[in-house]
Amino acid sequence: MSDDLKEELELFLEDMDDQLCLMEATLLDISEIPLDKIDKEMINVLFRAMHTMKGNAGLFGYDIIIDFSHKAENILDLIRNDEMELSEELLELFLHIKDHSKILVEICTQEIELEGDNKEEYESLMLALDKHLLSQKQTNESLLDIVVEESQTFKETLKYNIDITLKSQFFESGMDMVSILKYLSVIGSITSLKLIDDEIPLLKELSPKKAYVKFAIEYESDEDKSEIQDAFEFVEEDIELHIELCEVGESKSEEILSDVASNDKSNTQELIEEKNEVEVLPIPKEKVEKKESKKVITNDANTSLRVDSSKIDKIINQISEMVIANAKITQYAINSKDSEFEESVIIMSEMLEEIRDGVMNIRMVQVAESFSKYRRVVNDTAKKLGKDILFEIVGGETELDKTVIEKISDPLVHMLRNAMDHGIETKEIREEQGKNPKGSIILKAYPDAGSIVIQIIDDGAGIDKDGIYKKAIEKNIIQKNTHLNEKDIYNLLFQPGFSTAKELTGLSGRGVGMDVVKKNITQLRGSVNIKSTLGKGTTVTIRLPLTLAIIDGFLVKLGNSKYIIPLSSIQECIEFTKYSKEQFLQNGYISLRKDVLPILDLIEHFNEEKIETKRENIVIVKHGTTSVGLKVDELFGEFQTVIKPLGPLFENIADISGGTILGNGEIALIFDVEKLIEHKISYEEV
Amino acid sequence: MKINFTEISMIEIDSFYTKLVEDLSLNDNASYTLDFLDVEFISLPAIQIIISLKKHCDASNIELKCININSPKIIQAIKTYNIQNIFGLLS
Repeated sequence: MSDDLKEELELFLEDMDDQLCLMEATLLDISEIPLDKIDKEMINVLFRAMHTMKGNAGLFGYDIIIDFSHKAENILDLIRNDEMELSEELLELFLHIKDHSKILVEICTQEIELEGDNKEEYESLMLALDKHLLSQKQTNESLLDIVVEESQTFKETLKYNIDITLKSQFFESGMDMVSILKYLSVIGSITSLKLIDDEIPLLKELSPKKAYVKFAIEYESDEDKSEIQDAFEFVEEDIELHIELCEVGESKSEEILSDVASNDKSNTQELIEEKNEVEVLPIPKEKVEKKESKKVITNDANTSLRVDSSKIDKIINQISEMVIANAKITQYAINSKDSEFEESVIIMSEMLEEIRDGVMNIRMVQVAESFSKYRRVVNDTAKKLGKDILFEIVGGETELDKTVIEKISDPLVHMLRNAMDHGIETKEIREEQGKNPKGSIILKAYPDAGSIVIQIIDDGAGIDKDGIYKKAIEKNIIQKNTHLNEKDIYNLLFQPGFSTAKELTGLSGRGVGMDVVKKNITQLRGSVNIKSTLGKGTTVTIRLPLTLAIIDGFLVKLGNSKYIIPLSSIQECIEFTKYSKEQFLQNGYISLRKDVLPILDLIEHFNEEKIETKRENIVIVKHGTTSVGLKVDELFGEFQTVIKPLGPLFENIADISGGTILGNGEIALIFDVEKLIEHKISYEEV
Repeated sequence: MKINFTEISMIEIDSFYTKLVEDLSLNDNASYTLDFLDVEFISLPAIQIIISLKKHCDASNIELKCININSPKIIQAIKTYNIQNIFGLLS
C-alpha cells in the first residue's frame, strides 16, 4: 500500500470513527427525549452521518458498508420526511447498526472475510432494516396508488454532464477511479462514460506515474450538484471537476411524490417548471449549514495538524533527557563561578521549560470526548438492569494527559457499572423511599492543586459500612475487633476478592474488579477514595496527576540525601523556629496563623542521619483539603523533575512515588505527598 | 512477442513500462500479446500504458492482443472505463 493511500485510509478510519461517535451521541440524546418532542435536526444529523459513512465507504469500494448504510440511510430519510415514525425499537436498531458499522469498518480495512457471528449479525440487521423498509413500502405503495390516480403526476431525475480531468499528480493520491465511479452509480446512474485518451503520449514519451486521461460522463441522479461533488471529496485537489446540470427529466423520485401529496398539484408542466427553478432559487437552509460546516472544517484543517501520538511521546522522552542534561550543565555553571556562563544557562533552562510545557500541553485533551462514550455504557447497562438512570457529565472541558485518559477508561467503566448495579435502586424501591424514581449518576471532572479530580456521584442506596466490616471478618481479611475508621472500611472494597453483593450479576459483584481499579489508578500515581451515606448515595473520587513524564519539583535535603516534593502540592515554606520546635516537641503540631498544622519529621520518618544545620525548614503541603508541614533540613528550590520508575525492587516503598536524576548524577526520590499526609493523619487519629 | 506477467516482476508500474519500452525497441514484431492469465488487478496507470502501447501498435501496424482476461476485477475496470475496444473485448 502506498504511503498516500495509507494516509487516506487513516483519514477514512478517523472520519468513520467521528461519524460513529456523532451517531451514538445523537441516538443517546434522542433516547432521553420523549419521541414526540424530538428535534428534526437530530434526525438530520443521523442521516448525514450515515450518508457520509456511505460516501466514504463508496470511495474505497467497501460494498458491505455501502449496502448496510444505504438501507439505514433510507429509513432515516423516511423518518426525517415524516413518512415513518421513530420508535424505541428503531432507536435500539440504530444503536446496533452503529456498533456493527464499527465492526464492518474493521473487517473492510483489515481485508478480513465477513463470516461467523459477524456475518450472522450483519444478515440479521439487514433483515431488520428490510423489514422496516418493506412495511413502509407497502404503506407508500397504497399512498402511491391514490396519488397517481388523483394527480397522474411525474417525478424528476436530474441529468448532469460531468467532466473530470485528472491532474498529473492524481496517481500519487493512491485513489482508484473505479471506486469513485462505482460510488457515483450508488447515488445515481452513469448513462454514458467516455475515457478521453487524447493526451496520452506515445509510449516512449510517456511518464508512467503521471495521469493523462479525462472522463466525460452523462449522469442521472435525484441528488443535487453538491451531493455529487461530495463523491469526489477525497480527490478534489487532484482533479478538475465540472458538473453541469442539463435538464430535468421524468423519473421515480419519491421526493416529488410527497410534494405532490402536500401541495395537491396535478399539473405536470407546472411541476416540471417549478423543479427547474430549483437551481436558481436560494439554497435551502440545510444545504447552507452543510456548506458552512464544511468551510469550518477546511479552516480547521488549515490550522490544526493530526500527529501520531507516538511521535509526541518520542519528543517528550528526548526533552526528558535534555532536562537531565540541562541539570548537569546548570550544576557545572554554578560551580564555575562564571556569571556570563551562569546567565546563559539560566536563559537556556527557561527556554527548555517553555518547550517542555508546550510539548506536554499537546498531549492534553478534553475529557468530554472520552467521557461521552460512557453514556452508551450507562444506557445499555441501565436497560439490562431495568433501571431508569439519568447520566450527567460535568466539567467535560477539563484537560488531562491523553495517556492518563486512556488508562483510566476501564476503571471508570467498572465503577460506573458498580454504581448502576449496586448503587442505584430499582424504580419501585426508590419510590417506596420517597426518592425520584429516576436514579442519577454524575461523572464530574475538575482541576485541583496540580491534579485532576474525577468523581462518580450516585444518589443510590449508599454503602453499608457494617456489612463491609462483617464481610471482611468473614473473609479473614481483618481480625475481629480490629479498629477501622470510615475510610479504612471503604478501602476494604479494594481488597482482592472482596464483594458484598448479595447476588452475582453479569455486570459486577464478582469482587474481581475493584482491586484492579485501585491498582490501575495507583500505577498512574493517582488515588481513589470512597465516601458514602447509607440511603443517600456514594461518591467515588479519583485524583490523578496532570502528566506522567515531567513535573515541576522542589528539591530538599534530609540528612545526606536529596528528595523531590511535587511543586503543585506545596503551599509555602517557613522557618522551623525555636518556638515552633518547642510546640512540635510538646504536641506534634505547630500553630500557624491561628491554625493547627500537624508536622511530619521526615528525617525521623525516613530514618535519615541527623545532621546539624543552620536553619531547619517546614514545607507546607496540601492534598485535597488537608495540609501538613514536612520538616526538612535544607531547601534548594525548584527543579524540573523527570520521573523515572523505581523498578520492581523499589516500587512498593511507602510514601515514595518515583525517582529522578540530579545534575551531578545523584538520584533523588520523589515524595508521594498524599501518602505522607495520610500517614500523618492516621497517626494523629490513633 | 508475448508478455507473460508471471515471468517478470511487474508489481511496480515503472518496471512494467520499462519492460514494454525495451521490448518495443529490441523486437520488430508483427504482433504483440499481453497475457493476463495470472493477473488479478489492473490500475489506471497500467491502463494508460496499455492505451499508449495500443496507439503505438496502431501507428506501426502491429497487432495488439490481450488474452486470458479472466479476473472479475480487471473486467470490471475495463467495463467501468468503457475501454473494451482497447482490450479487444465485446462491449
